[in-house]
Amino acid sequence: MSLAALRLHIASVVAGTPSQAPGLPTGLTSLDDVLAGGGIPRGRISEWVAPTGAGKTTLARRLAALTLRAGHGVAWIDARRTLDPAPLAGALSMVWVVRPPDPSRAPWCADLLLRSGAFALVILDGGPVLPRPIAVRLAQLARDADAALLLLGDGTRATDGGSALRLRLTGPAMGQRRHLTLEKGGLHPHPVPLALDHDLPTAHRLCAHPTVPDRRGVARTGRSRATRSRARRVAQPRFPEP
Amino acid sequence: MPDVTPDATTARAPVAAWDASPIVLVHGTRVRAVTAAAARRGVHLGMTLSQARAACDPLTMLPWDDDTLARETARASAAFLAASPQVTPAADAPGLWWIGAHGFEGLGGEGALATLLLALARAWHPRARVAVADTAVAARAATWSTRAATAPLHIAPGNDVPYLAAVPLALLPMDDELRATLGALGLRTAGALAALGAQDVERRWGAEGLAAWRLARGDDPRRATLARPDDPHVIAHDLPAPVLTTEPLLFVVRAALDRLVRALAAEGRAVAAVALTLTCDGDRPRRVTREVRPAAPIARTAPLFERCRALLDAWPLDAPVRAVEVRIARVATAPAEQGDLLAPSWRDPAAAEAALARLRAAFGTTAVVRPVTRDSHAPDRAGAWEAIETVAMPAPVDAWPTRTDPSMPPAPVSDGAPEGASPPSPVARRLLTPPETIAVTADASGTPQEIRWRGDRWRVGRAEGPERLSGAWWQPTPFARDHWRCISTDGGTLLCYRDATGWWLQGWDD
Repeated sequence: MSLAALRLHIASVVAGTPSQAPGLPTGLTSLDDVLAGGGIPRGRISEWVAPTGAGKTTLARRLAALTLRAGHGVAWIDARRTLDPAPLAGALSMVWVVRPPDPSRAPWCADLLLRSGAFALVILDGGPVLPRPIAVRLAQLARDADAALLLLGDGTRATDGGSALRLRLTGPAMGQRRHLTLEKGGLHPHPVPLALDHDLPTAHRLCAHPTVPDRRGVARTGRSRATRSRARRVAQPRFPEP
Repeated sequence: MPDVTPDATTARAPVAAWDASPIVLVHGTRVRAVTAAAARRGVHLGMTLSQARAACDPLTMLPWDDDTLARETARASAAFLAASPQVTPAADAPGLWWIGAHGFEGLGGEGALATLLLALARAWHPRARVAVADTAVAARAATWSTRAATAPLHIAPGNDVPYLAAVPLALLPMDDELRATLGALGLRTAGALAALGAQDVERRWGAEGLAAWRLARGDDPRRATLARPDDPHVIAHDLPAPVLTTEPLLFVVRAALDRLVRALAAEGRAVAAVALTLTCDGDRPRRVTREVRPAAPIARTAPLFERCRALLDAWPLDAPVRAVEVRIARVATAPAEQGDLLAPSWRDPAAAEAALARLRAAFGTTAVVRPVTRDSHAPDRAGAWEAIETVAMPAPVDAWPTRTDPSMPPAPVSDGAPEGASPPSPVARRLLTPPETIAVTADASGTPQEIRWRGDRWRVGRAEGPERLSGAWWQPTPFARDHWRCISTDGGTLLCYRDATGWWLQGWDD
């Protein structure tokens, strides 16, 4: 840390103002380049909105993993209780996943986690659209804790106000690219479309984690494609038809 | 100084009036302390009440009272401070104190100190004893010597080990079972135990045996510490009107904790346990006390208050509360770990612990979890949630993830990244628990063409499958399914399966 940076940091601590720490990098160079601070801003609310299956959870997972690697605490509020633990294990084994019994309790969880000051990143995933008063309150807490609050939503927005950044992901149509649009909070005043060179990596379901052995011995036999497809056509379920 | 349990064979000084009466202190259903008179008539510690009554009649039984004991211990400690600044009541041994005797050369030496202490102690009991030694274990053993009954006993410096060699094992602090075992093996004195080999002792009796062996060799880490006469760390507050909700209580608790913690922090001490006592009205007025014990001593109000709030959240109030008492039940030295001004990533573990306690109090013990993998071929059983029990904050990792690091999810997308810059890895996935039924239109071969779920419709552009999975036949919930991975025309990937009961949506990539 340089002397000037040290002086700035001490001044911010003494003054009780949020630090000028850089943002939390997302791992997307194209996105980080257009964000002030080089990542998701700390002390603010960010929202990522996308339709089902567009990839926002994958992006959030990447952000959480990078944040953990930097030594910061991460809490993930799984309001709808639909996260699959298998792809998260490993790099995210230190993350706190909070699974409230009711999605409406998710903002309360975020309030509690931000208030503790123990986390640099709190992800509120799948909760209801935040009303403005609650969003303002959470923004205040995020500022006090110098933490980033990330809202993940399925609709057109995740909060009625108070967010500093809004990123929209568009699911790729067949044979097309996935797109991101930074609608708010970038270095530029207008929405910034970000084209991606290649699609999100997808994997077969049974290879959900590299440490879990793949037991599909049948798929590895030397049978030809034609043989396999014929076998598939003639295969009958061993259980009664519905 | 020994505890107040008398030794009848050395009775020369006058006996306290209470010690001349057959009295026992009762804890639960057992005798926990006896007077000299009761001991002479065959009552001893650990007896049941009926056994004690059978041995001695009449016998006065009084309840064991921790509060009274603590109050009297504090009073006696304050009196001993007139003799030495190092006064420590021995843990779990009421009536026994360790008192520092170093540095009294200019004040008459250890002899004058011991005489003064004896005079002070005899205000409580006329047969109190004082012994001076290098180690606490030797000093305590010496107080049981008949020579210590009339005057302070000194063990010359450096002679603790020879003195202990002849001391009976009964005078060494250790577990009763271990003592009985050693006695059964013919070991009668501390010297006999000390003569054994350390490895043999550890192999046979573990860490506990090794601790006793060290004491027998005069290796005792216990020392008297600088004492400070404590004010009772208690704030009690009578509410203006009885309340049935916890909100008014929280105001009182927060203010009380703030005052108590601030006073302790100013002395460099921290809180190891807080006791909340509620006085409830109702048909039968009663006081209920519950404790909060953080994992490590805390000298900050906020995390302690969060822990107290979690306790109150989980405390069903079945009667109006008319008074609250906040007491610091245990005080400890403030931990050495401090916040790091120059490390922006430093976060307070106590705050995380308090948040964890509140979440667990609100939603149950399985509300805060972390992901773990399971060895299963079924997609919905390949991972699980494991409850977080203790707080462990992440440490920075200097090395950046390598391409071969299997635990690191890849960069999902990257502008201009060369092909294959990230290793292939799964996307994040959502799972419905339990799976939800869907309407599927399939072609003649059974391949899904269209999916309807929750009022939405997806046209399937590509369907991968079926993968026939079965298993868990040895469990109550066996499964046999044809799994399909359906990529819709608008890009979503749905994970479906078909079993004997129909089509189900298991989850989707996201």
